[in-house]
Amino acid sequence: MKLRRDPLSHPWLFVVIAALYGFSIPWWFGEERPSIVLGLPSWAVVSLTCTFAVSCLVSFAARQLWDDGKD
Amino acid sequence: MSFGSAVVAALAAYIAVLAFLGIRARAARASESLADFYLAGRGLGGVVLLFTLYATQYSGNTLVGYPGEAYRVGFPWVMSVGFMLAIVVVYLVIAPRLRASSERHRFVTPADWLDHRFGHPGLTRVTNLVMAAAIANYLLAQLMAMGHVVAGLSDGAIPYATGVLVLTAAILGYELLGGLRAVAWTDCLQGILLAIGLGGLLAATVFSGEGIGEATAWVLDNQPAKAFRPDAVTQATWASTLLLIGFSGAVYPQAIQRIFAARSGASLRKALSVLAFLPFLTTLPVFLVGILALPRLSGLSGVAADQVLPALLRGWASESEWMFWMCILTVVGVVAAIMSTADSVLLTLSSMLAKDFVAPVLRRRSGGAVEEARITRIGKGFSLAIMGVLVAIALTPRISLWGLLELKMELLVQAAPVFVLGLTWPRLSAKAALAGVICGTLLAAGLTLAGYGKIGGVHAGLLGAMLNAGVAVAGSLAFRRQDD
Repeated sequence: MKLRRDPLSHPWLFVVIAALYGFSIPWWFGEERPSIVLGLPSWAVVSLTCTFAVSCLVSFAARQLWDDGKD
Repeated sequence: MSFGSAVVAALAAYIAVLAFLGIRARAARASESLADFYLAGRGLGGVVLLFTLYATQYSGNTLVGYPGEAYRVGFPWVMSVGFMLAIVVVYLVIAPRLRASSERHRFVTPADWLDHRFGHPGLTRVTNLVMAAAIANYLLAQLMAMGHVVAGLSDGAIPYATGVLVLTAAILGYELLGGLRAVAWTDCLQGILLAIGLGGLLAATVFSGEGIGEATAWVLDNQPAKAFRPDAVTQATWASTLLLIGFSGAVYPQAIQRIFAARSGASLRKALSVLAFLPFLTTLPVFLVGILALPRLSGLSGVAADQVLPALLRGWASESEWMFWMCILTVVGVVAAIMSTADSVLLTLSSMLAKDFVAPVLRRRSGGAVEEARITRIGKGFSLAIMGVLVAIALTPRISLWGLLELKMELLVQAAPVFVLGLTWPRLSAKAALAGVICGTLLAAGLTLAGYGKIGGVHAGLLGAMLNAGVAVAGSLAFRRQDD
């Protein structure tokens, strides 16, 4: 069986995932006291949002960018 | 009924259902072949595959160790949601090609793919040995977690040693009866219990007083280091953990065997597309529980990280009858999470020892083929022997749960370059990959044993894996030039 399509043949996917993971680490946030957003420190909310975007991308890639020609 | 007696009754009922599933799985077997016993006849559909991947990936450490880590580290532990997802990201890289190859060549263990890709017995043996050592350590961590959890959560009604022995016997019972079919079916039950347990935790936190906003405000005022932006070293550890867990978690031999055991590529794709969201339903609530514990347990001195969940559950159980039963369900969910990981690791470990290490020797001695039913029987013997040795070690625990997990990952990640590069880069040579695994393992183990588990916040295992990949790539390019 030969793969027709593979997530690896879409390099943009992994570039976007790496960028989102990069922003999920709060190096960009200042040293001031964070405000509370949705019950959490603001930087933690941005981190979770980036991670959720990765979840959506991974789910999309598993369903749409991976084709072994058997469906 | 006391909390301890209710836990004992609930666990007894749960073990009875596991035994029933083991007997049903035994009846459903089609043959005594390796593929039937170790891969459930390559027939796992999307839903069972999702549950078995989920229950295998999320262990007792997730439910017991992670609230403790969130309590100890504070908000930077939100990284746990990202690193559990990173495993699924690496699946996207390796699973499509591994699956396609396994459909053509009918692999049973990860070593079958290594043999097929590289045809180098030395590389197969060394990589297999590294993976086996790592998951044996992981299995030991699960056995110890079983004992600690039932002793801690049953208020001492079940002593540590009894917990380890009874739950180990239960795992061996259904696993020896039904192989991966029994493990996958029990994983479904365990996955459901895990979800109920998490629901119980969330409900308990929501109905037990202060909300997450109040807890965050309390942490900002009283323990600001846990809520302000993490320092540079913690940021480096965050990035290092994402890579370490992502790459090592994806090459768990038991996870690779599930890629082989899927009924079709479509069932695997569906399972992974849902698995990508499960960190938000599993690790995130557990992280929030740890944060909520900060103000609640602040008055107690000497609360060790691993005791945060038991301390919270005991407190909640005394609040109302409804909360009492929710906490009992959570305890069973935690035990289920640990057992579902332990059974998968045990099955994979015994298949690797029997098929990859013993069967080749038997073949050489007999000068021909060895019956698969015989290798399956040898594997079952290994299951008993492995559990015997590990239980003996588990009865003298000395190390915290998270510490054990890190030691396992430090080793396991050394197998990742072989799989990731081997599947994505045709020029990777066997000799260079072998040199990489040896260098990486020596560096990671050497640093860890010398007390340098992290350097500048970066895990020794990741440093080893970087050296490992560097040697593999440079060596492959050099060997190629020599061959030209």
